Amino acid sequence: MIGQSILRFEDDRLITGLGQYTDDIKIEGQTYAYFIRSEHAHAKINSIYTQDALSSPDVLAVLTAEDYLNQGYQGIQHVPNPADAVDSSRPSFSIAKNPQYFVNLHLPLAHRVVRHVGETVVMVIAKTVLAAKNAAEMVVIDYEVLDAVVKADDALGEAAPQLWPQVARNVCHEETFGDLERVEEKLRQAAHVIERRFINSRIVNAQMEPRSAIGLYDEHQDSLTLISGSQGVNKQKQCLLEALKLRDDQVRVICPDVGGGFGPRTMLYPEQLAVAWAALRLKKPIKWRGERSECFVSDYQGRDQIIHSTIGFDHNGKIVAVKNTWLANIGAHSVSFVPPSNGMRIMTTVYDIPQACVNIKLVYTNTVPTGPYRGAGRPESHHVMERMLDIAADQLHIDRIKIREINLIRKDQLPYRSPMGLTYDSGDFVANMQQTLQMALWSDFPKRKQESISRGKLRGIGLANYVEAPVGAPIERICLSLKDNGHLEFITGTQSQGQGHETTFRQVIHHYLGFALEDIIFRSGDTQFVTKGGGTHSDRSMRIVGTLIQNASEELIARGKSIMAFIHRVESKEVQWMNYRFEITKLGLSMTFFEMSKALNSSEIDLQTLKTELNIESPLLQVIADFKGRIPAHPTGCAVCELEIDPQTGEVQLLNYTSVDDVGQVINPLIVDGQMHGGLAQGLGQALSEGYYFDSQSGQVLSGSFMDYGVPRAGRIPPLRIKFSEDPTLLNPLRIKGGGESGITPATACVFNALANAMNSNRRDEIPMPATSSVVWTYLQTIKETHE
Amino acid sequence: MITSTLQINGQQVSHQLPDETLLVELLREHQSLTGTHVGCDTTQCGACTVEVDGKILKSCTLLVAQIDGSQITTIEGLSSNGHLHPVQEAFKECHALQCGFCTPGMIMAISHFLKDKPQELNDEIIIKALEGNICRCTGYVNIIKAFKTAALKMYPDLQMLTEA
Amino acid sequence: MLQNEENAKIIAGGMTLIPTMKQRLASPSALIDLSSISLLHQIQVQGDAIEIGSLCTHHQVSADASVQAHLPTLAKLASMIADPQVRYKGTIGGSLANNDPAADYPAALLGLGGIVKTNAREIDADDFFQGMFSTALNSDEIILSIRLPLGKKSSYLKFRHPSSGYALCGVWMTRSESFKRVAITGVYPCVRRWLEAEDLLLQSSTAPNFESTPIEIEDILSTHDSSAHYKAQLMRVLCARAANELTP
Repeated sequence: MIGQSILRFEDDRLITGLGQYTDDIKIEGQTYAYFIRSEHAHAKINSIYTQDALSSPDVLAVLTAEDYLNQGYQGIQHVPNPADAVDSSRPSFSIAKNPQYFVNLHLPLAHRVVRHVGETVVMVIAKTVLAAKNAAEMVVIDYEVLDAVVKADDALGEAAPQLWPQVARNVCHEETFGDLERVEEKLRQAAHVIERRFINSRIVNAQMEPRSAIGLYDEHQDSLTLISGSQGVNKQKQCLLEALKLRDDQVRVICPDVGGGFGPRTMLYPEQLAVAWAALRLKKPIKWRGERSECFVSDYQGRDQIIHSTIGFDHNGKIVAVKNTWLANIGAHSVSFVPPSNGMRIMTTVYDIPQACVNIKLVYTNTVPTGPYRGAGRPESHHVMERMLDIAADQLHIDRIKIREINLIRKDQLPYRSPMGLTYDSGDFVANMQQTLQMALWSDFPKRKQESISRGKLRGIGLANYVEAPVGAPIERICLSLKDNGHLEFITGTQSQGQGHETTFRQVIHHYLGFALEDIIFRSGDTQFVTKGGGTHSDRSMRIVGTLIQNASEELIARGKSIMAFIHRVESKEVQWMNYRFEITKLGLSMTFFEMSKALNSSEIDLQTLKTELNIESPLLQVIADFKGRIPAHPTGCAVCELEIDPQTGEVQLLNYTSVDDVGQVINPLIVDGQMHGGLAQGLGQALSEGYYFDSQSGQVLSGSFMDYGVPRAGRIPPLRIKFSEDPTLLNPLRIKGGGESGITPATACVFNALANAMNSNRRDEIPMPATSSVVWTYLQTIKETHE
Repeated sequence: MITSTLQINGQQVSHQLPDETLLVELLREHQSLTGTHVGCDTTQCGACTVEVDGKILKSCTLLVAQIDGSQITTIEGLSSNGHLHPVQEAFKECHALQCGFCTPGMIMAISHFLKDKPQELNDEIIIKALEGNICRCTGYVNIIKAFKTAALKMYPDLQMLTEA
Repeated sequence: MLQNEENAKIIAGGMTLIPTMKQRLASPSALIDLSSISLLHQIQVQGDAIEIGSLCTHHQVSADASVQAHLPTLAKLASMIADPQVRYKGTIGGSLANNDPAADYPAALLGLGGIVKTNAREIDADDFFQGMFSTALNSDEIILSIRLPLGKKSSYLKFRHPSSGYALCGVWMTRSESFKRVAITGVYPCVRRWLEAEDLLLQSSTAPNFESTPIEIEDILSTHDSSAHYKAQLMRVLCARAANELTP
């Protein structure tokens, strides 16, 4: 079953409209929450007048931060500092060493100050949504507007407005990774030094399901339940119970069908906390149905990194050192530092670079908080590295492919330890690039370019190599449990938001234990039975859970052998596991798990004695497998993009996209393909159309809906040539590397290399991102002007 | 308040509703037909697409008051007698959905397009037919495949300028 | 009802009105739906003109046999509005009455020198469009039909905003014997004729390029993602391409 394109189990309900997303769930007697959000990027709240709203028809409550704090609750502790990529027992950023470090607890409603457009300020609870909205219009908030700052570099300025009094110059934390002294020494000695500044644009997640949440409180059980789509119930629960100071047994989090995750739904949101709190306070079911316009000013956002890169080369074009500075715009609240952390680890990508260092500043601004968005820092690092190579090739008069060949880590150098501490165990970077070049017909490009020119078009081709170092939460748990009817129940702490886990994990279970796919019960998304878990993000699920399934299967099989040995009074070692059956060859006996389950349930076996002998307290055929730590993996590959530019309008037309991707062993080709397409579309979206714009004075958001924010439509992806390769990893039993981010990681890099190639602009400042037709045309005019 | 009588998936239903009730609200709140989704508030994403009197419309931008007496088909009414519509089958076979949220709207739009045999079908025509539907998960590649696959299921002799 | 109720509004397709109501930017006290009046859905060729009922949907206009035969550019324009679902409901009358600066039909009406027929009078295209979202219609006036002349060769080219699909620049060019009109939408606060371009067409028998044709750049509606210069460029380019199409 592994490697087969099994059709998805989840599809039957989704294609018939029987999916259950949060807003599809109706609770008897549910009341509705509506949030009044700040229209200012930065303002003091002088007063909030709620009397008229309170006496409005069908209104049950009008709540503010004061109400929340008066009950003794606290804001969300996001734990923005992620576990280190290599040693997960320590954090990525050495915040303990920084006396200035400040991380704010994220309140469900703004207290005294609003710090971004869209921040929740007041929650109105009413019997209908309409009643809540009508009442909301009667709330009067007296704001004192303050200066706002939206860009990370501006936020460092002397006169920049300060977001948090505890934080000087809006820098939440600053740290240098790598050996700065040695890097600077190498740069001084280098034959050539190339420098460039990159602004990686802000991204709106734009998952198709607007976030929603339902809060329920059962007075008799003293139990609070949150029903809300997310990327994992355990982290949501942990954050919730800490904020509301509840015990573990008092809180339950349920995640129904989720309409898209991509990263930002991993962390808890103010609205989810608010709804849970309101349920607790009012002792009524509270439903919040998010609207798209809210999403645009409250869903945690992605990217928005300013990276300045300096690379030194020797006479032959070999890189001797890389020095980057990285301004991470974390937004108004410290929700997640994952992207700069990942970006730092992977900054040298697939190239053999002896010295590297990066200075990272985590900067507060009056914008929606940022967090991991597909790739989470890795696409940003690749964009920089691949652009720098094209820029260097141009300045050093070396062919773009040649300069990469000179610098690529060769297979014989593996295992290769990068200067940022990652060890690449596998990956044939050179072969992947060569194959991609062949498939993309790279060497014939000049002819095609001439043809485009004859039609009045510019034509460019660009390449990007990539390697990932997926990380994610360093804990996970699965449970395999044989039921009385012979079915195998599988519980996992991961959370599918479209990745097809209900199918792929079944395939893996079948592979190890032989159960028919239909005889496997899949369960996730409820802390009532998901007692521990890490959720789904960062390419982690198959890698970690696949490994756990293998581990748990081994134990289950070992148990099964002992059980069969007990039943037939032989030694365990005389029981074999073959063809998904337990066999005692010398007795000519064999048993499946199903038969074993029946036998255990008949009264013929002394279960107590058996349990004592095996030293097991739990059900006999139930295994819980836990994981803590890291399973490193390095998906890798290469992508080439070819495009045309209409110089009259600046319109960019993608002609084709070629890639070779090593995701490790492919469990389900259909699903991996799908992941690749989706990631690619998002990458192309960032490259060409997804622009989130602010008014620089007021911090007002100008891209507040799908009218302005260019999420790709059908036809964005050009003809594709994709090939999967594999240089096997031995670091996990299923040879999984991960396919969720292969599409997105090199995308903006190779598109921008193609754009710069088409416009012959490598000596100029970077083309702004996204490269919309207006941006490209305007950029072309600046080229014309300097030539005239 | 208005009284609305509609035929939804072959069933006659009548409701007394506030004047400004949108069709999508009637479907989701009052008929428990939650397969039709709300994905935006600017009439762009198409997740709310349903068939009304033989046309596909965005139910989030339609007042129930405008369509009294109309015949509505939602995603729940697309399959007949337990048999999936060819577009639904094609979506499953081609892995044209991941999170599934945009899927009902996509399927309604495509099944409407394929109601009559198209004179021709190619990527350009398909892309234009999907202009009113946004997907964030699939990159549309497999949705386009499913479109072609469904077309060939329904019209085996259809001339296609590009392979499915 | 329009006269008596201050806050009553006509609803045509609702493709603009309903989103506005959802955003709580408009709260009409009553909506008047004229869709039962069959006259408003008719398309008729009468001699050298075509008359299109104000409630004809974009889909209808694009698919209608008479429109396709006699005024194919209009059918093409209608097929490029929004998306399939919106085209099934949005109407020509609604579009013209709303007069969005980036709507397509205003360019057609102005570019052909058509006539808007209301319950009270007939209004020439040149008098109809008065400003951003503003027309010559009185508060109790209803568009019944639109009359467009036939037999004039025309072309409509549109450069779409990548997200909204509206015209970043739409050019309707009519070039027929002595009748030369260039109507621009999406660029200015209101659709307008590019008179200097029309002069160029009158003077030349070939397809001119409009690279140095004067443009009132100060009037252009620029946005955070499209500068006035860019829109001016699009005007020039689309006009050149339209002129090319129209020149044998």
